[in-house]
Amino acid sequence: MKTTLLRWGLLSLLAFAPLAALRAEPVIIVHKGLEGQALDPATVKSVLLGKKVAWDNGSRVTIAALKSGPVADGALKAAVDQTASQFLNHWRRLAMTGGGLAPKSFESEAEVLKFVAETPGAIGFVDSTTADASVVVVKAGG
Amino acid sequence: MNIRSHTRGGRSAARLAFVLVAAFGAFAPGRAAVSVGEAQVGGFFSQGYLTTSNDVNYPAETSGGTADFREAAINATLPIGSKLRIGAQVFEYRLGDYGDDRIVLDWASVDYNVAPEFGLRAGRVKKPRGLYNEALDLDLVRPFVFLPMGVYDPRLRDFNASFDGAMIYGSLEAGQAGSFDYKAFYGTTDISTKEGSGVADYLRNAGIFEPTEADLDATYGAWAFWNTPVAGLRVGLSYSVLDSVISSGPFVPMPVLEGSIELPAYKNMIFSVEYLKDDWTFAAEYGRDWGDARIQVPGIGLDNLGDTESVTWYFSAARRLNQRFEIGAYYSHFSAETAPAGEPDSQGDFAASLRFDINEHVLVKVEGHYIDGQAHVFDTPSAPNPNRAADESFTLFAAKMTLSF
Repeated sequence: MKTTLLRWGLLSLLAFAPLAALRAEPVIIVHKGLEGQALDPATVKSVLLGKKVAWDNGSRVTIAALKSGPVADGALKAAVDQTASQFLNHWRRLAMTGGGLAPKSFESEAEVLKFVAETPGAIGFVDSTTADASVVVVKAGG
Repeated sequence: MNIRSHTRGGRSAARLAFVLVAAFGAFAPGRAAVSVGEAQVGGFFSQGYLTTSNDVNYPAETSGGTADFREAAINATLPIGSKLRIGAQVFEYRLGDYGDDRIVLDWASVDYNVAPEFGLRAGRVKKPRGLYNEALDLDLVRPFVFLPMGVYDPRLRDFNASFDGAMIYGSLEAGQAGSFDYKAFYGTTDISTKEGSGVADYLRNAGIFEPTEADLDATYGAWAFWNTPVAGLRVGLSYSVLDSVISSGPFVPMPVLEGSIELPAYKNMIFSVEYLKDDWTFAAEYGRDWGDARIQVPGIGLDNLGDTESVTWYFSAARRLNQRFEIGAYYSHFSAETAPAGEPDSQGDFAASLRFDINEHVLVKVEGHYIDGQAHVFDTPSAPNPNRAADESFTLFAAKMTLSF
């Protein structure tokens, strides 16, 4: 009886393991040209808040932001401790007062992924299930 | 301005801006700015209505209700390479007589960001002061129609918004202790005495002379904020000086004589705390303005040395309820420490606001104030309050619609 229960337990674990691996979570993505750059949480936060405007390889930072939704909220909460609305206000304050270039704003994760993949120096955030090999994936919040 | 003596002594522009904002807005799905090639373009237009009770006119001529309350701005920013950026914004506003719908260059700067720790901005630069001075005109970022007026006086917008000069800025990481943001600036600013100048009305309100000339040597200051290890909590201190302010004009009791006021160093200090927690924003600030003042009317041998001082503080809370609604409230207090005997010396203001986002480009706000005391109320032709000495309470109602892109 004990052996049967153990077998069932192992089978259950094996059956659910792939689902766990696919569990959705927001991730930071960057252009492939930034592979090897320092992408620690402090750097990502500095970039997303407009304090660091150029990468160490000299390319200009371009932020691709999802307008709203749980992925935007989750990624921004983890990376900069702000809601999507607070993040938008932060950038409105900067962009409207000479303090920076506002993020490019997108409706869908697919658009963010495409933009980041095609734009040198770009950084954005999508769900882990959306990210693919066209970009470098960094866990939001480290 | 209250002086304590030792002896106790273009509507068409708005329409154009509206058309431009509406035209650009139609092509801009909700964002902080729109892209035109490498450049980013942004802007807003707002129109409001104000009315006050008890025949009090505050912050402008409002007692019968007025729609002379609007703002418009268009800006453009262009990156050059990875670290250099140029940009500018034109702005116009009207608050009763103040602003006079005159189009001004609000900011126009060159910015070189060497590293997160150090950057340089030069040209006409937004003045860092407290939590919100740089974003004073941005209705989009808050539920309030008026920020607490003791700290952010909308009548002095033309004077306090920006300066001509240079600013260094940066952010220093401090590991487990969080980080520190700093700005330090030096420059000068124009003190207009033209019709619609709020700062001229501030001088006029002292009732000593009619300001026809005004100037200052320099303005300088520093701003530092600590982003604490507590997520969303930042505290900061800003300090600025207006160096050698002098203004003159006909002496009010005898206009054939010339009167003047000189402030060798007029100082402002603001201590600020802001806490963002989920959909909440809490803020509190304590501010103080002070300086020595010398009033002269040579024709009658008057040469008075005195000082001027005011203290103001507020605390506010705002909450984003959902994508459509945001609410907010604050209590602010202003005291004129050097008010002459018989003049109002304090003013409390309780405000409650509701913001409704019709869509991503259009928002509407309504706001009610219960104001106790009239220390921050002018008595000038632009805001006549002959009964100000009665110092009674009154209400202010404000409604405003803003289009932005």
